Amino acid sequence: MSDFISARGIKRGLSYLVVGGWALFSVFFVVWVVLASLKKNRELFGSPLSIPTSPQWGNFVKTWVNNRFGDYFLNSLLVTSVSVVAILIVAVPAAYVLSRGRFRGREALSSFFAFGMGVPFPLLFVPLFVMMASMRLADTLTGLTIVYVALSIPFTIYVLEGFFSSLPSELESAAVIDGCSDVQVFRHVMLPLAMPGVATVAILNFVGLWNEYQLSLVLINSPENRTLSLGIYSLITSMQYSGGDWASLFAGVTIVMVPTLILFVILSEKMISGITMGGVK
Amino acid sequence: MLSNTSRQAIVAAVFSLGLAGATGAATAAELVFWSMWNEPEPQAAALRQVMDAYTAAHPDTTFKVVWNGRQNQTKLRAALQAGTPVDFMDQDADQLAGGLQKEGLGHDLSADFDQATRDAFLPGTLELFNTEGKITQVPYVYNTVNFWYNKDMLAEVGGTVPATFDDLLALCGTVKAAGKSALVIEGNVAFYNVLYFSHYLARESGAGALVKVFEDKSGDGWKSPAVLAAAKATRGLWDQGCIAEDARGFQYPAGQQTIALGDTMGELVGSWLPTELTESAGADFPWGAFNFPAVKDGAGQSTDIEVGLLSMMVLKDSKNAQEAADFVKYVGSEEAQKILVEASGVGVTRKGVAWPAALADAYTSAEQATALSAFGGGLGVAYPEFTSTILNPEYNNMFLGQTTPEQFVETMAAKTKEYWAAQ
Repeated sequence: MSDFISARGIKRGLSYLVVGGWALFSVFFVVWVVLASLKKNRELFGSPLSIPTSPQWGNFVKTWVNNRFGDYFLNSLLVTSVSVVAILIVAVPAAYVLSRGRFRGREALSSFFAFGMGVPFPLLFVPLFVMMASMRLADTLTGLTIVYVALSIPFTIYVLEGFFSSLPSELESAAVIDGCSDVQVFRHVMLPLAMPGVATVAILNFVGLWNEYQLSLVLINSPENRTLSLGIYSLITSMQYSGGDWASLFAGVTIVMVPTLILFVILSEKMISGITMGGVK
Repeated sequence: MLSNTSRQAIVAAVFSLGLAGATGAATAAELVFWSMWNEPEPQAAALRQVMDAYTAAHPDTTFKVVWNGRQNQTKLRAALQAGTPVDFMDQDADQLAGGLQKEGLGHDLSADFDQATRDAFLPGTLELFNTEGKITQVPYVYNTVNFWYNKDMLAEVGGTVPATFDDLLALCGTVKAAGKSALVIEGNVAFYNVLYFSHYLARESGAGALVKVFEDKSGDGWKSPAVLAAAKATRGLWDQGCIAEDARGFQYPAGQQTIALGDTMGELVGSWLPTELTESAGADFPWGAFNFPAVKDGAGQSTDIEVGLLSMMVLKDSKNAQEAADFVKYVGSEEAQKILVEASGVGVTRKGVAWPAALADAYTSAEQATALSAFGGGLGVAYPEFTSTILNPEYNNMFLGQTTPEQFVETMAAKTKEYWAAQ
């Protein structure tokens, strides 16, 4: 018994060590980036691990105004928010029907969506650009949003299907017996139960699209339509030939991280419960 | 009910408007320019000034600019496939040569550049990327590759600018004795580190030697004694204490920052270094530059230099090709080149236009150049894939001590043979 307990203790200790180490590693780099964003370039490279002697808030102003991160931030917020809402509007009912409905071709349709997750994005660059250009949607935030929605649907449906499948069918039957129509069952019974799952895919999609770079690089040209990830990249590349203002770059990285961190702080509990729930069938 | 006079007036007005519109369509041009600069960069502001000056002199020509940043050529390719109209663009000259120019998408500008115009360019710049004598790209910003160093530190340690490779090794000892390092590198930037090899080989065997070695399809070009000597000599910079041991682990930009911090004297790199380090080193940093020194009994001269030019290209399918060509020609004029120097602090391609003070030595290097090669010996222009996936990493491994010079030679010979066999 004591052998068993000590073995369990060692296992638990190891788990804490790994998870704690990982957490420390992540927190260290986040804190380092924030501190770096408040230094002068000379201080940043001269004493990289120190606390800023006189915080340079001007780095944020420079990045926000001169490097147009204010515009990029709004673009990213707009594209990401609209995309996530649109993805949920399309994917939640679709996933519900695919998981609970009984009709011919359901499995094939599910597999078709799952297949969509396996298509590498780079293969789509040229056809997507040509399609968007022919619809006059290239270099527009609307076009980028449409592409984001279309390419995120397979993953979202795949995850939500698992969710809806894990919900007890008795609740559905009870609602039908009480006189609910199919839409009412979905709207008043199943959707509220699936909210942790919906929150999970919302966060995952938000984070994924917020940081998305490749598609926006191909589809967006005008500086006024750039998203934050393109803004960061243009800051990095302009280090060559134009001078390395690394502190401003870290200010930009901090700006990019903030919404994701806020979202995690607000919704992390729902997300964790969602992931756990979806995993237990 | 309109009177006859009113009718006539309306007809006359409509006719005049139509005529004006037709005339305007025939002469006015809005040139679409896709640029490698980002809008907040000083180079973009300088180009904007150049365009404004041009429009002031040619009111019928206006510009619509897309400031794409460094991925310009990549973005342009996709846009051209979708039929987006673009008149002219700019990019690193070697990337253009291996990209849009190689694909035949550049407009031939040869007829627009008479002998006097061609002679106004600094030696070799306009011709470096010509194909079959045709001018399809026009360089307008000039970066030289030199050892960029702290002049005050050189004076403090009592050193002098080295004329030969042996002098360089001696200088390393002098700087080391003063408790500093003569040179620094970025361990993760292989295409910077390969500059040591390409320069040494060019000093030994003459400009363009690296391309000749590679174009021996048997792979035996690599087995010439000059290649092994270049590999050994450049690797020897570590043994001689020229480069600080900890530089092996430097990730860009950690290496170059040690120059700004006063720990290292210099680095073999492009003339963009003073600009890149302005924030850390300060605008009054005592920059100097000298060419890669001569090698004993070598066929190459120390005035043969590697360059990183930035060029403009008029696109073949441009509907305003002539207007765009006229503007690109204007960018090479004294007036436009002076604007570029003053507003963005770059070196330019026109003879007689002084470069910024920090780049004064680079201007001398450009003015006295006896032969030009593209960055890294020019191999990356014609064979970009081989250069980036084989030569650069293999050399870097050897340079940083993970393989021996002999292994490097053997690997390159085998990979070159493999490459040509697969063509």
